[in-house]
Amino acid sequence: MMEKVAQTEGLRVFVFKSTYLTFKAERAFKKAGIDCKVVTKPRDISSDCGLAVSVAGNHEAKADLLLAETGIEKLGVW
Amino acid sequence: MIYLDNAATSHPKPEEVYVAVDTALRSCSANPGRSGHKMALEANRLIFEARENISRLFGIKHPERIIFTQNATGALNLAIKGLLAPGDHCVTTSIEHNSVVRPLHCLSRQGIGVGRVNASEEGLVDPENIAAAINKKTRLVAVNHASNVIGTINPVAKIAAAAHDRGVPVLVDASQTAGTVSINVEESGIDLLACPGHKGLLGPQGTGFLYVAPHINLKPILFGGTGSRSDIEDMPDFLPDRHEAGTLNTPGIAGLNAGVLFLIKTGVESVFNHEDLLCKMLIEGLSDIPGVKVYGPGSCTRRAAVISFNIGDIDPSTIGNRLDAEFDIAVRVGIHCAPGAHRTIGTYPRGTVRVSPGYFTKQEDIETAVEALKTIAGCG
Repeated sequence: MMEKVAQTEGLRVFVFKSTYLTFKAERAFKKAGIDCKVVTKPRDISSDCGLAVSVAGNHEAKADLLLAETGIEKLGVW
Repeated sequence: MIYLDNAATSHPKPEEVYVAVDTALRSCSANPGRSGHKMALEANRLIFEARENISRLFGIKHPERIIFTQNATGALNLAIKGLLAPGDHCVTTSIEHNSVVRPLHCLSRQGIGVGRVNASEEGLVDPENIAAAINKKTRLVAVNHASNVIGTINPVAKIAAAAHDRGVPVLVDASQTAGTVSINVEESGIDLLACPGHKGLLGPQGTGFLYVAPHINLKPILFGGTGSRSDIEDMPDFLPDRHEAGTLNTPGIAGLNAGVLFLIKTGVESVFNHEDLLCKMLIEGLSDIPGVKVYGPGSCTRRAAVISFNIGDIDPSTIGNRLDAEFDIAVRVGIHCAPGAHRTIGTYPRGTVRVSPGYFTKQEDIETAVEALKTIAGCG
């Protein structure tokens, strides 16, 4: 379901363990010129009331690489 | 007013601290870590930036391991109660503040042993004495970086090394040094660092934090909502959320962040040098007053900006009251929530007059205070 929504909207949602890591990722993405937005985690991903970072689909690979390089551990991408 | 009570709470604050609190309260005092709307996200970013900037100031590599608390007392309670369990033993010193003494006393009734190492009359703690007090059950060494009564700066790096040699972590109470004496937690080997936000860090009251090194695992002592893992009844297993139940003090942390940024820009060493100069002036001025006894280290070198003294047989409270009423000068008298420190220097239960200048104290303020004290002593 979420995969379908994400594809339709051309967005990928990066989910992190903590709010701290969510905002660390947002800062890293913005610094690298990756278009992103902190959003409430969609219910399809988790019943939690936490946050996630949405990134334009064409930036997914760049964002993923950046997270690996900076050691910001993600829980997943939807 | 000439404010010489910065060891209790710093005053005034840098202008940007007032602005930051006001701005946060007006524009982003929504709930950080919960909702996803714009204002809540701004509050979140503010908290995030504060953790990052505090980390810069203290050489901390893991900002997510900074736990915001309401003051140093909250941080010390979390460290002590979060680490120790019945059957454990803690080594501490004779010059601790009640924020360490009282939680340890409480735990001593629950089967936790407490060993107190005597500091010298000048307030110095010998790392070898700490090492000697450690036994097989010791799980923590809790020491203050500088005494809140006499300002003596203790060799925390050497104390940490001595404790680490025996496999014991160290909790440092930096209430009198955070923001005024350089601290690098990695270089000093500090495992737990407790700091108030409202003293040398120049933030508002109601702020503080505990840094927890990656190898330390604390039990939560406060339980509630965190905005994360809301589907489980346990506290989250990751930091900072594990220890930050309930809504954070966002406007206060905004002010703390502004204070920390001010210190990064100004340089902690500059703050120390200025306060050191004021302490030297004060001690020199006091030496002209017959019957004065200044406690603690003989010179101002490597002391926090805390000077305790008595004048002859005059009651410290009389001096404090006259300074306030007749000269509009604010100091603190009594035993400063540290009876053990006063026993160590021989001033219990009488106490002392404590003068604590801050970064915004001027040399003229010290000159005026010395003249006032001369008048009170009857030699002005």
